[in-house]
Amino acid sequence: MRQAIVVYVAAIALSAALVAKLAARHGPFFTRPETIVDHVWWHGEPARRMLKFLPQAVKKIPPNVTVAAFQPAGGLPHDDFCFYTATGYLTHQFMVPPMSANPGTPKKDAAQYVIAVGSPFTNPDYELVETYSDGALYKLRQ
Amino acid sequence: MIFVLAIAALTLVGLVLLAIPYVRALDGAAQLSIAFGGGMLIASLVMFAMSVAHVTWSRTLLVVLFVIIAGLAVKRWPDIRRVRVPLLVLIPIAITLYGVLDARETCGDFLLFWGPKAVHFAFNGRIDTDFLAFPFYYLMHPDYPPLLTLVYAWGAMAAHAFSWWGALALTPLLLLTSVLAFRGMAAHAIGERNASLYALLFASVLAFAYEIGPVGGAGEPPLIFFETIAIAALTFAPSDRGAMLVASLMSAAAVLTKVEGTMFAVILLIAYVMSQRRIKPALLMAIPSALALGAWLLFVRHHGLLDIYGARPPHYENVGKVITHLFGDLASYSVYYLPWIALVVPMIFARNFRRAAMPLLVTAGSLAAAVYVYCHMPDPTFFIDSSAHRLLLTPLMTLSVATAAASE
Repeated sequence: MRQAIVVYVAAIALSAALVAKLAARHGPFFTRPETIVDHVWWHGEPARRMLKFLPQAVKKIPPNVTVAAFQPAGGLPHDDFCFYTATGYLTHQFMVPPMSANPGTPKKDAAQYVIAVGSPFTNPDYELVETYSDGALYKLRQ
Repeated sequence: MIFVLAIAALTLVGLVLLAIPYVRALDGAAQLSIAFGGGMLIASLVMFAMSVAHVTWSRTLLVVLFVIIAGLAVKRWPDIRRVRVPLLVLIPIAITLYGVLDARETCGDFLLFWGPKAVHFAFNGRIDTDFLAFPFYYLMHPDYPPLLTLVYAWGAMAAHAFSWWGALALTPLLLLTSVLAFRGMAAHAIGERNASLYALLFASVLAFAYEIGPVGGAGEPPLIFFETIAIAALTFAPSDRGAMLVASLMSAAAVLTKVEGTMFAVILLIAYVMSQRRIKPALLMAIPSALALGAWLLFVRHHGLLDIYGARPPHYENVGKVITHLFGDLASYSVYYLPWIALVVPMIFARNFRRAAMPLLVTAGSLAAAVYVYCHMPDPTFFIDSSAHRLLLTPLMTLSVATAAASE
């Protein structure tokens, strides 16, 4: 009996702590999340913002091209989680690291498409294809 | 939905494990849970073997193979009248289901490498060694064991698309099957009532720790699932040959799920030898894990992918820092060590420390192994901060098993 009481108290305490931890990840609590990381990555996290428009952007990118994804810093490529995250969504293309979209990169080595999160990507070698609420898609000029 | 159903349907493939008398003697819920584990192991072995043989996966081919294997178990359906699910354990699991489906328990690694690997494996119909070898994807751990990515790839092939939400939904399912397998195996030794009581504690501890991880979609839920079956089998039926077979198969599955699974398998066998004083069964039990690890290492070595399994220089000068940060900060889970306290306090009423000896040894071994692993990082602080809550899941689980084992 005493054993059972101890276990029930422990289970209640752990469940309460679990609910408290989930609640600490902030609301909304009963709204369908936009992304699978809505409550674990802060709202400004570039990869989280990218997930909001990535499915739309992917439809505009032809197969067998190289693609870089990042949140530009000062208009230029920047290393963040976008590169790895996008790899899981682009199966017909090849993800390449952000540095592949640096100004001055030879055209044969440069990413053919760039998914830019948030701020504009200003490398003049690229032209805008489409804009989204949280970013834009760019294409290497021919 | 098809993604989740296809993976859950691997239970049918794993029903062949019901040929083991030990499994057949368990209640229906435990039988189904162990069959689910067996199904994931068999499916991943089939897909791995096909990759080795350069046979491209296709949905039709895999379905045919799985149906043939499931057909072997056609006379071994579990008796659903014997399915026992204590309703209270469903509370922490329901909270976990809410947590993952409201994007509150997603593990970053799921998005950064578990998911992308599975997506590309499914798309290319094989363990895509070209993808793994691409230098810029190095941080995705090219030689990480393949079981989870293969199971995800099967789900993606069956559904014609990878479901990120579906993969997340497997986390509470794996927690549920861990709890039911544990309860069913414990019931034989400590009685139905006590088994249900400690299943509630087991579920509450792991549900909480899964949230803190967080582990949604990552390798820990299947790892803990396989480890739970392995250690529960050997704790509650240490002399039963069927239990040993189940433990050895689930240890092999753990080895193929995460690198930590190999540490667990080794520690489990050492603890078994120390507590049971029996070497020969331990050596026999080591065979499936050794074969699984050997096959995977040969495969990754052949493709030039060897990385994390390679030798790394130790940094034992960090041992003090590691112990302080790991046990002083992270192990508290930000709730004053509540999960540990919740597992230790019931031991005040313990009556059978002899039965609990093995899981207690595994707990101690897993904690020591965690220190050992972090002592191989030049700057362990970052790695402890980013992974300790997940690495400590194994000792938490084994301590749960020990607490239950000592209760009666």
